[in-house]
Amino acid sequence: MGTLIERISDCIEFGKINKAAPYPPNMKDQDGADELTIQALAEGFTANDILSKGLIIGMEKVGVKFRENKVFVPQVLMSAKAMNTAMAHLKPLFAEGNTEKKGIFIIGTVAGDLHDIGKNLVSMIVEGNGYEVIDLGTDVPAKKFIDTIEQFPKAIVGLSSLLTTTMASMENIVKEIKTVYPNQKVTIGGAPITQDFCEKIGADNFSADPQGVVEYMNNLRKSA
Amino acid sequence: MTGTYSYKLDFSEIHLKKEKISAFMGLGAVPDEPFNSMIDHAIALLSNNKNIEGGFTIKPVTDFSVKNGSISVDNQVFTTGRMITSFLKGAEYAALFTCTAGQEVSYWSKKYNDEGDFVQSYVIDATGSMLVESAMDIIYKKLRDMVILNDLSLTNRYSPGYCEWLVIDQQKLFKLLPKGFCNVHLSASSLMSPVKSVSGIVGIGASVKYMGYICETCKSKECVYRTKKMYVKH
Repeated sequence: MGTLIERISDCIEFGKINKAAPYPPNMKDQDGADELTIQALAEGFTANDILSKGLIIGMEKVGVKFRENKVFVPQVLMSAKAMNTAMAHLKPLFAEGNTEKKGIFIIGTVAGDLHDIGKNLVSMIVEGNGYEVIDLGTDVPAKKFIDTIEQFPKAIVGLSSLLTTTMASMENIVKEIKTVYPNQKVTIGGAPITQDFCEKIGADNFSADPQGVVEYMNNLRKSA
Repeated sequence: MTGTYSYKLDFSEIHLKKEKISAFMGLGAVPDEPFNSMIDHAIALLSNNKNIEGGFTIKPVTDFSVKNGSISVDNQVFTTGRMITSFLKGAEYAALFTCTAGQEVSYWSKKYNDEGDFVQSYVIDATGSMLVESAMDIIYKKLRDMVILNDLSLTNRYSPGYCEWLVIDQQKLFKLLPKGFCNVHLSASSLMSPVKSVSGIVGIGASVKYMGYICETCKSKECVYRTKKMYVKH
C-alpha cells in the first residue's frame, strides 16, 4: 500500500468515492477519496499538496487512459465524482487563500449544438487538473464567449462541437473572438474536428481528447 | 408501394437489453456496480415513456450514381457518399424514416446532471440512445414485413452523419417527411428534437441486400464509434 497521498491519487484514478461505494470492485470496503482526504488534512497535509500531488495526478492518469481507450466515459465520470468528493473538503481551505488555481478555462458547446457530454468531460478533466472552469453550457453564441473573456481576460477558451453542421458556427465564433481579442487563445475539439480544420479557421489548438487540452494549457502556462 | 406510415410504440414492446446498454458505454456485457443498478434505474425511469414513435415514407428512387455518391428520391438529391450509395445500389424505392425516444430521455438526463449525479445522467443518456435504436428496430421490422409482401427486399438503414453522408443532408430528408412527422423536428443546424431521435434511409428493391454489420468496412477515421469501439447496428 502506498503513501496516503498515493492512495488518494489511486482513488481518483479508479473512481473510488468513499468506503461505502461498491466501485471499483477490487477496492470494495476500502477507504475512498472522501475518508482519505479527511485523514490527510488531519495529518497535516496542506490542501495544495493533496490537490497537486494526489487529485491532479490521479485525474491526469485517467485522462491518459481515456485517450488510450483503456477506460470509457462512465469510469471517467466516476473519477470526476471521486475528485469532487475530495474537493468538497479542500474548497473551504482554498477559499481562505491557501492556494491558487493554475488558470481559468472558459468552455462551451457552440451555437446550434446541444451536445454536452464531450464538453462536460473536458470540463471535469481540466478542473481536475487544477484549473478553474467557467462552463457556459451548450448552444453558446460568440457574444457570450466575448462577454466572458472581458470578465476573465487571462482565460483560455475552449469550443466544442459534435455536428459537422455546427463546424461553421465554430468558425464564426473563433473569428468573432479574434476580431475583438486578437491574442485570445482558443482551443477546439469534438468528434468532427481535425487539425486541418483548426488551422483553417485560425484556432490556436486542436485536441482530440480532454488530456490534450490540459497539456496545451500546461504548455501555455510554462511558456508564459 | 409508396405511402407514409407512423407508429406509436409502447415501452413493453421494445426489447431493451441491459448487456447492450452496458457494452455501448464500454463496460462490457456484465457491468460492475454501481453501473448495473444505474442501468436498471435508467430503464425504470424510461419505461413510463409514452412518447416513443417512429415511421417512414416510401418514395420512388428517381436517380442513382455510385460514382458521384448520390441517390435521388422523389427528385431530392442526397449525397450519401460512395460507400452508402453502393450499398443502396438496385433500390427501386427508398423508405425515409425517423424515430424518437421522446423528450423524457433529455428530461431525466438533465435532471440528474443538474443534481450533480453526472454518472446517472450519462447512463440515462446512453440508455436513451439504445432505446431509440431498439425502437427503430421495430419500425424497421414493420417496414420489412410490408416490403416482403411485395416480393421485395430491404437494405440496412443508413443515417446522415454515418460513413461519408453529411448531417446537413438531414434537411433534405425532412423535406420529404410530413411536417412534424412523429413529433420529430429539425433545427437549422440539423439537430433533431427530441435529441434522442434517429432518421435515415432504407433502400427497397428486388435486388438489394441486407448487409448486416458494416462498421468494419467504413473508412471514416473520425467516427466516434470507431475510436471508442462503440459499434452500432444499422
